[in-house]
Amino acid sequence: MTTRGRVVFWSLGLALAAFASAPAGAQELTIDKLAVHGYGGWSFGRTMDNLNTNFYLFAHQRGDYFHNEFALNVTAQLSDQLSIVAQPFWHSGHHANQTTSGMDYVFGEWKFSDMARLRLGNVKQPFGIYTEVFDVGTLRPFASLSQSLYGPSGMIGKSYSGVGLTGALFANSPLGIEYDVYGGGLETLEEDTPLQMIAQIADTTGRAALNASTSRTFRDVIGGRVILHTPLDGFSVGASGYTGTRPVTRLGVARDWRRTVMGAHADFTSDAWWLRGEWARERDEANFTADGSYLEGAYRLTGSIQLAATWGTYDTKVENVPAANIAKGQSLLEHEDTGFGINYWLSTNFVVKSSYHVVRGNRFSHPDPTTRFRNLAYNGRLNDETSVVLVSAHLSF
Amino acid sequence: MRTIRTLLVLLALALAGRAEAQSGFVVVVHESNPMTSISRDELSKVFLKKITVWRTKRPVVVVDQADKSPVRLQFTRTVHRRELSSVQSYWQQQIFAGRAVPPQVRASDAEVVSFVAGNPSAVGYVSTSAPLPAGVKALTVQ
Repeated sequence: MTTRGRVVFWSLGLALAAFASAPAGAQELTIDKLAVHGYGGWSFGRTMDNLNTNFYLFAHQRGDYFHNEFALNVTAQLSDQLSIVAQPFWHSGHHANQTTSGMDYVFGEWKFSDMARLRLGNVKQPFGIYTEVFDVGTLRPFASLSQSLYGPSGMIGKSYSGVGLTGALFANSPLGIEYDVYGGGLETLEEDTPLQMIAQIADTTGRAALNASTSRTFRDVIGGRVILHTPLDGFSVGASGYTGTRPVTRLGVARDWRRTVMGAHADFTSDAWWLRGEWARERDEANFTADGSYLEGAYRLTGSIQLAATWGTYDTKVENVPAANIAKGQSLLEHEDTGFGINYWLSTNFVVKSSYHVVRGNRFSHPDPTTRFRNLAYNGRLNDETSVVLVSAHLSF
Repeated sequence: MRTIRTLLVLLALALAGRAEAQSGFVVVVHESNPMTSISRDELSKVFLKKITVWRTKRPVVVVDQADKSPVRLQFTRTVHRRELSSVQSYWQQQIFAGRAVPPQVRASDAEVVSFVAGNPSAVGYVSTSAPLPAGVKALTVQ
């Protein structure tokens, strides 16, 4: 069954289960029991060097005006215990005619108590600080999340399909704990053409075309997250992890290879400050290990003006790749982003952002995975530093 | 010098008195609710839906006031000890993570009182000048 098929299956199943189990009166949703929210945004990005053909996020040398997104969030509270949450999205990028749509998530939640809530369906993956609000621009200081963890590295997925348990412990004490455990399938965000390239960069024969797919599907996933809210108001720390397998054929042998990701985070928010840091390690049996981390800070200078800064890094160690390849394509394994931004908040629900980034390495900043990328890499002519300007507007309601 | 100091003290007292006058709100619950007081921290968690069940095991139904109302602003600063924008960001986080939605909103003190009077599980707040009819009672915030 395809991902979309699974989503439709779960949606119908949950809806039927909800209506079958709810008392007759609960089937008639009043406006108080149905909440509709949404978010969206427009982003522009341009690399500063006209000779630099790298793409980074939605930026390239000619400038990209067509990065738009919108999502609706619908929550139906069918009873004190049962709620259904769905979030469809629309997104266009790179070119105006490249529009995608789908479901961010759709799940049902049965609340036993504040300490235990059962979730079934396609649920946002709880990992680190941002996975559950991955695309919501009004909840972060930059146009995009740090690529060091949230880039197309396969560190995180957007949602899991399966069953989860979540809750809050010690809610009445200053030291509160939130937890999540889950199991099922997970689709990760992943574009690994730089890793495919480094596997063949020193070859003079047998060069293969790059597979530019942007996701991987993992099975038999189990994962969890725990967040400790400290007595210092607004300060929390947490740890996350998951493990799962995917079938990979290598050297003619097909088997399930395991990926395991572990991470930790710290988060402090006050009226004026957002200070956040995360680290994660990704271990993929198939071919690599990677470490990603970032620090991010933002300060409200006034009610409207916010200054922001970020630094992040992501380093990959590949296995079974000749040293000559790594020597020639070292930048394909590295990423470092140093960025500064200034934002203008018209309200909590509407913000205009601008930022300047210097990106070193080609792990996430490289030409489109076409002939140009291959030719530049083979000839050792990749630009390993990219300067980027991003301008964006984000809204939510 | 002493005169200036005296003037500064008087100014501070005047501003403090003004702030006290503006911070007035009353937390209201249904008259059948056995609680008579609640801590500021617990009240904050109730209004942020971190606590969703009364100590009596009855589910809490929270009713809020409109964003632009002065009593909402004062309640937010006093109980959550945050600016309204921070609390709005918190709700965005909860909504889009699929974890909770904000409380229902009523447009006036009278509507809040009416809602609470009609719902034994409800809790809300109104400005100190609002009359409290039969069916609702005030909760002391400690």
